[in-house]
This record gives sequence, C-alpha cells and structure tokens, in this order.
Amino acid sequence: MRRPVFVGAMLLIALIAVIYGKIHLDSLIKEGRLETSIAKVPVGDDYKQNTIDLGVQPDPNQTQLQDAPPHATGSAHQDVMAALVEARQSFKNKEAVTSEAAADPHQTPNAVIHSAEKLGEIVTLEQAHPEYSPEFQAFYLECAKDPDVITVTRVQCVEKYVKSKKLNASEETQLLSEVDPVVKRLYLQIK
Amino acid sequence: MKALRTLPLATVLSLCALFLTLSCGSADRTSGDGTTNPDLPFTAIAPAIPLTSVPLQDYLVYSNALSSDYIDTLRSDLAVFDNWNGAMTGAEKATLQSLLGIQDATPSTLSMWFKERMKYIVANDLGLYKLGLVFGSQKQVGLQVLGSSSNTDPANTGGGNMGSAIYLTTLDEQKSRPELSYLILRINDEWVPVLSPRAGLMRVGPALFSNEFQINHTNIQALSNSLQRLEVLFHEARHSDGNRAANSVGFSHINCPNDGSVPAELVGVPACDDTVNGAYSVGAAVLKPLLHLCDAHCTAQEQTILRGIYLDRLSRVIPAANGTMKTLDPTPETGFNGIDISTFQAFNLR
Ligand SMILES: [Zn+2]
Repeated sequence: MRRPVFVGAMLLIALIAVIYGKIHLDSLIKEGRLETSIAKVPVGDDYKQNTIDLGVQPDPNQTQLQDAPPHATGSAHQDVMAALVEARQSFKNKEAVTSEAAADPHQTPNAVIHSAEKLGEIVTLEQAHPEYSPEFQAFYLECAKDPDVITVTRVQCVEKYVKSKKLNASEETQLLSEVDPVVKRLYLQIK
Repeated sequence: MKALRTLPLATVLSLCALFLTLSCGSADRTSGDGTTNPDLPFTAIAPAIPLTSVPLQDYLVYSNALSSDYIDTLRSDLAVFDNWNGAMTGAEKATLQSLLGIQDATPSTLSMWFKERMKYIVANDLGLYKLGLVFGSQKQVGLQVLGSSSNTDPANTGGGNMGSAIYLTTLDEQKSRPELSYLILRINDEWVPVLSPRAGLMRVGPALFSNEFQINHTNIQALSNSLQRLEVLFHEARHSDGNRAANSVGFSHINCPNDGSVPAELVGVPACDDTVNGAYSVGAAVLKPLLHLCDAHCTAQEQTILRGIYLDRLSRVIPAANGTMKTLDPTPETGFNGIDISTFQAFNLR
C-alpha cells in the first residue's frame, strides 16, 4: 500500500521542479540575460554561402547575400540549382561559336542562340522563385566573369546581374572594372 | 593592322566551284562541241524598272528551286516589315540614317533601300541553276549547269549575297579571259545578268529555316524568328554595295584580329568588320528598332535570345583604336555594260 504514496510524492517533486524552472527562465528573460530567439544566421568565416559551387570566388560586394535567410532544401530549390548548373555548362561553348562563325558569318551561331535561350529560362525561373535571388545573382556574376563562357552571353549575364541586384551607378562601374574589356565595351554599347 | 578583306568561306567555296567551271568551259568551247538552242531564249537587257512602293513581300522574285515552305516563310517575314509602324527612338533613327545614307529612316525609305540592293532569292545549292558566260565580241553565250555545291552546303549555312560573289569572280576571271563580258544566271523564266554587285541575288540556306536555329522552335513564322531572318536579309543587302576605286566592293568581312578588341572565340575567323557602316552594323541597326515589336508579342525568353543576336552582330564590329571608326564608301560599282544577247549563239560548256 506504500507504493502509490511513493509515486505520488515523486510526481509532486517533478511538478515543483518544472514550475521552478519556468519561473527562473522567465526571470532571466525578463532581466535580458537570455534571448528568446532560437536560431540565428551564422556570420563570419564559418558562414558558407548558400550558392552553387562552380569554383568561382564569392563576390566581395555581395553584402546582401550574407543576410540571406537559410533556404528550404525542398525540390524547388534543387530544381533551381540543377537548372543553374545545366545553363552554366551550356554557356561554355566558345569552340562551337568559332566553328559556326567560320562556316557562315551571316548567321548568328546556334551556340549563341542556345546560350541566350538557356539564360532566358533562368530569368523566367528567377521571376518564379524570387526567394532564391542570391543564387541567381551569384550565377549571373560568375557567368559574367568566366572567360570560358561565350562572350555575348557574358554581356547578357552582366545585364541580368545589374538588373537583379539593382546596382547603382558606382556599383555598376565597379563591376565593369572587373570584367573582360570586350564584355564591358559591349555592355556599355547596348546600355 | 593590315586587314585582309575576305569573302565568307561558303561564298569562297562556291566561287571556287564557279572558277573551275569557267576554266573547264574555255577548254570545251574550243574543242568543237557546236552550238545549241537555249531552253529559254536570250533576251535584250531590260531597262531598269523604277522602284515602286510595292510591298517587299511582293517585290522579291523567289526561285522555283526553293521549297514552298521557304518562300511562304520569307513572305511572312517581309510582311512583318511591310506592316511595321516604324516606331523607333531618335538614336535608332539617327543611326539608320547615318549608316544607310538616307534622309529620314522610315519603313518606306528602308524598304526602298532594300529594294535597290536585293531582288532575287535563290537556293543555296547553285547546282540547281544554269549559268551563261556572255562573250560579247563573239556574240556567243556558253551555257553551264553549275556543279553541285552540296559539299559546301552545310546545314548551318544561312545566306549569302551571290550577286557580289559572282561579280567579283567575273572580274577575276576577266584578267585571264578578257573576252568574257559577264555572267547570266537563269532564275525561273528569266536570264538575270550579273552586271554589278547590285544584281540583287541572295541565296538562302537551311539554317535560316531549320528548327534547330530558330528562336521559337514551335512556330517557324513566329515574330521572333522573322526578326532574326530580317536582320540577315538587310545584312546581305549591304553586301550589294561598294566599288573598286574605294576597295569596298561587296563590303566583304575581314578576319577578326587577335588584339583583344573582339570576342576571343572569333579571332582568325573572317567574321568581322573594321568599318562602322559594314553589313554587321547595318543588320544590327535594322534589328534594333524592330525589337520594339517584340515588347508586346514575344516572350521574355525570345527577347533575351534576340538581344543575344543583336549583341553577336555588334561584337563583330572592330572598334577603332583611336575611337574614330572607318567608313567605307557604299557608292555602287558602275559594273559591266549590258548587251543585247537576244541574237547570240549558245553553246554548251561541260
Ligand atoms: Zn556578311
């Protein structure tokens, strides 16, 4: 007959402990000694940008990217990343431009058309997924600076980056100082 | 930089075939093949027909050797131009006027500019056509079917100005064969004399029409596809200009230099202009205002591709190191004097 009494006493002690803990935590929070947030965006050297790894250095000007919230890792994100990687590969086709231009200088090389087509798909994707703007912006920037990418496509990537990032005049000037002179010339020519 | 002015590879290959034909023709003519009756009688040189305001789509003569699909598509493209309202910015208008030497750039004046330079649309395979070598002093015409150019007809060939190519070949051939007056080409029921680069002969190849090369892959006659082809048509029209005195006959392209001024992928390819008023500049300048049509009628993706094409054209114009671009003289070549060949004897060349 003593067993139920013992169990009841233990439950009572546990209940008192929980109530005490709650009162103590509330006290700490009230005194500002403990924040209520449960997750923070990491900063500093440990922070890894949530961008595609294509062997290109991150843009030092991309301060907004540092503040980007962590992304969901659902299928939409995977689809976006896959599209970016595929597009980037199709951009690296300068040899085809050379051979096609030699075969017929009057027709825009299909490689240029195909790259622009892929870039158009990416822009459409960006419009559908504004939550992944940092990824798209990193993509445009890497494309603009990559010497393996078709020159015309690089110019178009500069255009897309400037527009997506809403760069001001000085930021735009800074960007243009970092790209190939032919890319810069053509960009300014059509601006 | 000493630029080598060259003709496009496809044109050069076609001309090589033509040159060989002419050489063989000479040997055969003296071997006693005898005379023949042309299946289409020769005619006197018709007086130049004044240019009219007839729509472009009805002005051009389309070779029967072209597929009906090609013809329908080209007519649809030209209808886009015929129906264009001519909306353009002040800068676009100024560029066109400066490049084309016209007072006021409107659809009407641009259309007239085009008609002065382009008249016949022929198939890419010159083997489909009969050629005549006019020997004026001997009152004879040597007839020859051009050798098939199928091996020089890659799928990615879009177009070329055959009038200027044939004219230049004739000039070259006359150095060793002064009795050659000029060449005539049978197109449908007409012997077309190639008296100058302004003969207005454009060949069109599969790349202009094949699905692979289209912007819109599901509709060959989509506006975006038409704009792409219109750019090529006006580009080719510029190749009808120029004269020997100014070394500008045909406004031929030059090899892209390796000096960091043009895309690295074009270096060494004869796909550049070192003049501000060359064919690439003309095509781009015409395309630019036409892109406004796309604002309301093309997808964002189509517009991105068209902008890529516009950039591709611009990227081939070599900027001047000193900032002042060279301008080539577009004054047309006087050309050869036309002859009444209606009574000339014909003989076959092999
Ligand atoms: Zn050309």
